[in-house]
Amino acid sequence: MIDWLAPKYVGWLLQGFGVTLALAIAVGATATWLGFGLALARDSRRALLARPATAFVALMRNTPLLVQLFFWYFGVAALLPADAVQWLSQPHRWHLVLFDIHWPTLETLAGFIGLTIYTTAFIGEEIRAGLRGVPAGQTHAAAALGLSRFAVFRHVVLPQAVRIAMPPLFGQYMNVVKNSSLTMAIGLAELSYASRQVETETFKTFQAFGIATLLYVGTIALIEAVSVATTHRHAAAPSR
Amino acid sequence: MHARETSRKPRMNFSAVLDNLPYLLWGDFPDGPLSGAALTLVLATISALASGVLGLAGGIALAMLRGPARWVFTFVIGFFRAIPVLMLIFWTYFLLPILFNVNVPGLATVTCALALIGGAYLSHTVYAGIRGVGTAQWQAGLSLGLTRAQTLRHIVLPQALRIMTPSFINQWVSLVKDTSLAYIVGVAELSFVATQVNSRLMVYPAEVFAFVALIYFVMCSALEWLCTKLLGKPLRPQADAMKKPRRGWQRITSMRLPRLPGLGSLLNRLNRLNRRGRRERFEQFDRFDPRHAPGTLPERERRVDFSHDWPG
Repeated sequence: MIDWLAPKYVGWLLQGFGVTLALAIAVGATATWLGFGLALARDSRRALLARPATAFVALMRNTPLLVQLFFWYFGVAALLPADAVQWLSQPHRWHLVLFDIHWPTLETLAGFIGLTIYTTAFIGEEIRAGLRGVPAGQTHAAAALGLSRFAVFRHVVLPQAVRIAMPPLFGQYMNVVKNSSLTMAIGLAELSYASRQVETETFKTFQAFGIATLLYVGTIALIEAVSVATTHRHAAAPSR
Repeated sequence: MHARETSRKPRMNFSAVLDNLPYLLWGDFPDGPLSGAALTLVLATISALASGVLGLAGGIALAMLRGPARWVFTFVIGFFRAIPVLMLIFWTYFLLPILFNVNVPGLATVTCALALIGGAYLSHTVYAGIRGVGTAQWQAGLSLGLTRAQTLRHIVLPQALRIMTPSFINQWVSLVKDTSLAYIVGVAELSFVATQVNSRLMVYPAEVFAFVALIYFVMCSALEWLCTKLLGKPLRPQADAMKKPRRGWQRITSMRLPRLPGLGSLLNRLNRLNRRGRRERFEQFDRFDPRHAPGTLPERERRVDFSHDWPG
């Protein structure tokens, strides 16, 4: 257990870590925007919007991510017309001015979509809790000042809601990093997948999983540190 | 992958999946080993109990420990909260046999991993619950001559457990979902059986996984409903948004509780007193309509404020 991993295998792990980070950032950013929409839909006065949103959240929260990923990867591929699947799974490339854009593999696509939809349900609930945490008096006061409904939301409710929702949101971003490990089940070559691969090749169980675990825990700790820093800055803001 | 060769299918076909329903639910149970949804339930139950015990012990330790021991313990719990469930399953699955030189069955390793992670999360819940009860309860207990342990056992914990029930329910629901990760190490629970059925049927992946998701949904919702029913949290707090929100100790005293001798009747009495007081004070405001807010203002002002000549 003393001998170290060959640089090649460390490279594999780092590459997997890069995939994990990229996936987590993409999912976190997309799910936050979608989560805002979901929160607004759930609190909408129109039952046509609110009911499906509520059902969606219940469905996402009460089914395992792994099964959802299987559904997106195996299931949707079977439901789509064969030509579409063919097109999706082939490499595409668009040439922009400075760099090429590569079409992601089907695994990446399914993993991204599955994770994003799952995370949206959770982030939407956190944002909704934040919106509900803003006292109604704030809305009334802003309305009394003559602000339009949009202006009330944008300039009065939203900043306070974001402040309330910030700590739980960071918790959800941590969950995204951790949940991204499940995409190895559909063959996405992220950190867990890489560690398993290195373990199979080298039989150095302790080193392979140790490095992967350190990278995961380090990332979570970093998010935690950012969370604490932001919360403190926000908490200090009103006294200024 | 194999699904890609199949041609288009305009609508979903669940009859093939329904033929496999007994296999999905309990495998070949009377003749073979228990698997499928039944094994998921067994796995979830064992790890829920273990994580509950670990969480209770961890939370009490967090509340009672002092100094460097507490730092070390916090660090350990933080580690288990930060590591993905999948990585911990890897650790227990591949490393336990090497370390102890014994053949550990997959079921045990997954239970171990789930219990550790659930326990770490619940430790913080229990700790927050103990903190949430407040220092006054501690002081009251200690000043009655109880030891710290007795105060914790008889005064603080019964109240703390009530504060924590929603978190416990959430944690157990996510535990049921996390049992699906046992698939990775080949434990034949529901997700694993689902992939078996999927590769046997070949052409109905969407149906298989949608149906399995439905089974999980039913299990998780039933668990949530049952726990809520038993432990007495209001089903959906937002459903009775029109009622006046209860705060602080009112919320604690007005919860429906499993019976506790002595304390229960005391809380009931407090609750009744509190409700009577509220009825008198807020009779006019119960049907509060924001459009008539100015009209109700004089009522509010007419109440005399005694707080200024209250000693202390």
